[in-house]
Amino acid sequence: MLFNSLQFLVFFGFVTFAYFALPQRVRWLLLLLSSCYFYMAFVPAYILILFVTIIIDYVAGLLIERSVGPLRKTWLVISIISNVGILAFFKYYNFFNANLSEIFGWFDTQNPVPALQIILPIGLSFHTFQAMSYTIEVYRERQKAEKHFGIYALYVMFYPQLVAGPIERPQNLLPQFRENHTYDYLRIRSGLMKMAWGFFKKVVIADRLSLVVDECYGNIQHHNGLTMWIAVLFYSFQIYCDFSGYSDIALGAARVMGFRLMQNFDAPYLAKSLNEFWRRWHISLSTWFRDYLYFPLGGSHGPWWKHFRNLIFIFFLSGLWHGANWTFVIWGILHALYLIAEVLAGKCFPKLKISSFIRLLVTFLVVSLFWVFFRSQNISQAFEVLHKLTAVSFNQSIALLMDRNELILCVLLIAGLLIKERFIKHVSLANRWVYYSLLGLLILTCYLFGLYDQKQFIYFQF
Amino acid sequence: MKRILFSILAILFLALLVISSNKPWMEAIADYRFYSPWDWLGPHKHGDLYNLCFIQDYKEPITEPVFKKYNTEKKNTDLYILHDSYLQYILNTNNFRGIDSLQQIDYRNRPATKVLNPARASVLIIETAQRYARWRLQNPLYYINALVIAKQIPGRQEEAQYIQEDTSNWITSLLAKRFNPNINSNLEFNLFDYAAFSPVRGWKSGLNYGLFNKLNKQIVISKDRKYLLLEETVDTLLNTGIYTPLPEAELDSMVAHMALIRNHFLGCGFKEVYYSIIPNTITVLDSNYFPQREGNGLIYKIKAKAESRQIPYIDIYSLFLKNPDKMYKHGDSHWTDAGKQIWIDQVNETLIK
Repeated sequence: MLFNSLQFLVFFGFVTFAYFALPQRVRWLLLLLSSCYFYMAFVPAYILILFVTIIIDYVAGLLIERSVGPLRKTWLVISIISNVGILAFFKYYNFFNANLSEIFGWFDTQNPVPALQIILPIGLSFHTFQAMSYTIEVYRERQKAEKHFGIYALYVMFYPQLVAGPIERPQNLLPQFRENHTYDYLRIRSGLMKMAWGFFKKVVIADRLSLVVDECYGNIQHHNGLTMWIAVLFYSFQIYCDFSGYSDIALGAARVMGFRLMQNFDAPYLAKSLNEFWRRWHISLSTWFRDYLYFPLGGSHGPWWKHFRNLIFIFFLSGLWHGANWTFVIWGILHALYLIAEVLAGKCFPKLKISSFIRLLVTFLVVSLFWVFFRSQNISQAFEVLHKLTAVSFNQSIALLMDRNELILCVLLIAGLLIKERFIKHVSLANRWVYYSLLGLLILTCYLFGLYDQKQFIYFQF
Repeated sequence: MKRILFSILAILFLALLVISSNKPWMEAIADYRFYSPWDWLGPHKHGDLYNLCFIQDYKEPITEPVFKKYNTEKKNTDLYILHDSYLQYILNTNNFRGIDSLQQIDYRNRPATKVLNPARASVLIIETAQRYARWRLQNPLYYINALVIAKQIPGRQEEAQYIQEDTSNWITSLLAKRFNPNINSNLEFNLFDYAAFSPVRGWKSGLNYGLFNKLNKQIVISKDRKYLLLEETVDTLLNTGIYTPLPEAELDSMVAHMALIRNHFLGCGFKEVYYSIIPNTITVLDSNYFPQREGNGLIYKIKAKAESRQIPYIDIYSLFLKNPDKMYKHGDSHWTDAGKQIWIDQVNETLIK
């Protein structure tokens, strides 16, 4: 079920009212059944895959807790292999097979491994990572194994964050299912405002920018350097508003019921370095990689080559996590290389002072250029876009792009977004008039200027 | 107190979800609202395309359809019409000459089971809108399964391959009922498709059209700006569009299927089976929408091919071209009553023959 659909709004209304109407002891059941319905609204059969993962990790958690010595590690490894195996099969089987065919092709032989018709279950990477963080935390003895199967299943399936995160940690989410959340007017107001802002970012900003981006990336040959630059810059804001819009709706929907999910974004385009960018972008994934891979590998400690190796490895995996395509891998590696360059620059020129604005601008430009690989269908398309970007001139026409007024609206929306992120961190909800005026304005803008053609969230495909 | 209120609200939201997921219930609601005398229930009565954009210039007046009536001698004939939305308004037996009864079978209500009266001649007309003709005529099962004649004559092998049992099991069928892909449009219909919301929707639409020249994606405006057109009829990639190339092999296969479907229904006991394809608005009114492109000529090519194979065909395209401005509504994808009357007249002429 898409957040930006009427179905979701009615579903949300039902779940929220039923949640407060039911006694605390059965709320988990309501949330679990609702989450099943939410997930099955995409492709019903894929819930079976989710259940397999849930059963494996539930049993693994109990076994890890009960075991001692090397057996604990064995159960953890079995659980991780199962999770990664399911992810690898659904997400990477055809990717690896296509590459295998390419290699066989070099030797003029046929690849004996058949290609399969596999559709990637929505949000597989997200809930697999969330499930893995549970078994790892139980192994590390930072989380007790959950005995209640229903509540564990709900931890993996909790509908607000099921298909695109935030990737929660068990310590944060699991205890909340046992809390008795009462009807709190102020908290509900805050949750609804968060949701409205998320909807605004998705249906008003991201989906409108996508009109330009899709047109340019879909017909590169018909566009000049200037329009491609506009598309590349717009994509940076499209993907940000699309994904952070989703996260805001998820956080808001959970907050209305009394759940506190982790913050996933913190004004990433105000970062003054790539390092800072990654502390502000998709925080739940960055910290997942940091806690479960980067730190265990040694992090930034030890010799310089280990630090750089770790960075490259983590960003290689992060790229691969995003999608089974070399474009994502290149995107990840580019980030790693630039981070290494930042480390080296810091060591070589420790006293160099560059204005914050310039650093912010350079970081944004670098991130935007790296997004070209993320957005392109394949590597050659990415290079085609980059080639177009080099042939820019301000005399070039942008007539093909979209209606002039709509283009102006897009620019105004981006400017508004940046101003909000830079200067308005929190809106005071204490004043009822301010709150309702603002909420009303957001809803009205979403209604009048939102695009409602059921456009999926970009991160659903991951 | 709060708990009771929340319970009531939760039940209301749940009921809304359940009703909007249920196909038969939604069809019943849509039919009720369409035929209901209360205007507030049916802004779509002002035109299905107007209802997508709310531009006042295209608002259709609500009129009662009036068709010619005949009190002619009965000729022992039952007329069956397999139809889509073009013939959705209920016609009466006395709109047609010399028939004893009229049976209208809407594709939406398929499959319909009927028993032919052996004492009378049964005549079947298969009507289809041009935009769906290519898809439907590539799937003979669509027609064959739409009308099941209770006592079929055994031993007809050729079309038997198309008559299949529904292979889906109860789980698939249950899931399909619970996860209706049209739930969002159904919810919109149930929640907002009322006359009271029309001004607000019109305001939104006018703002987007005035500021960004943007309309609902499903519609375009004709070059002379007099008509709203369905986008899918001018689309150059979809087979619903009149500019999408129509290969000769596809045309041959469509006509072969027409023969097969006709043979099936003749085998079931019909005395004659006629086809009639209703042209898209753009085919008659605005065929130079894309001046550099030529239409695919589906209507007249099918007619010529069908007639060459002795498949009876009721043609209205040539008659519509004589008076094109009065045949189609301005804010609706369907024809006017005048257009429909021409079709009825053609059917009557055919029945007399």
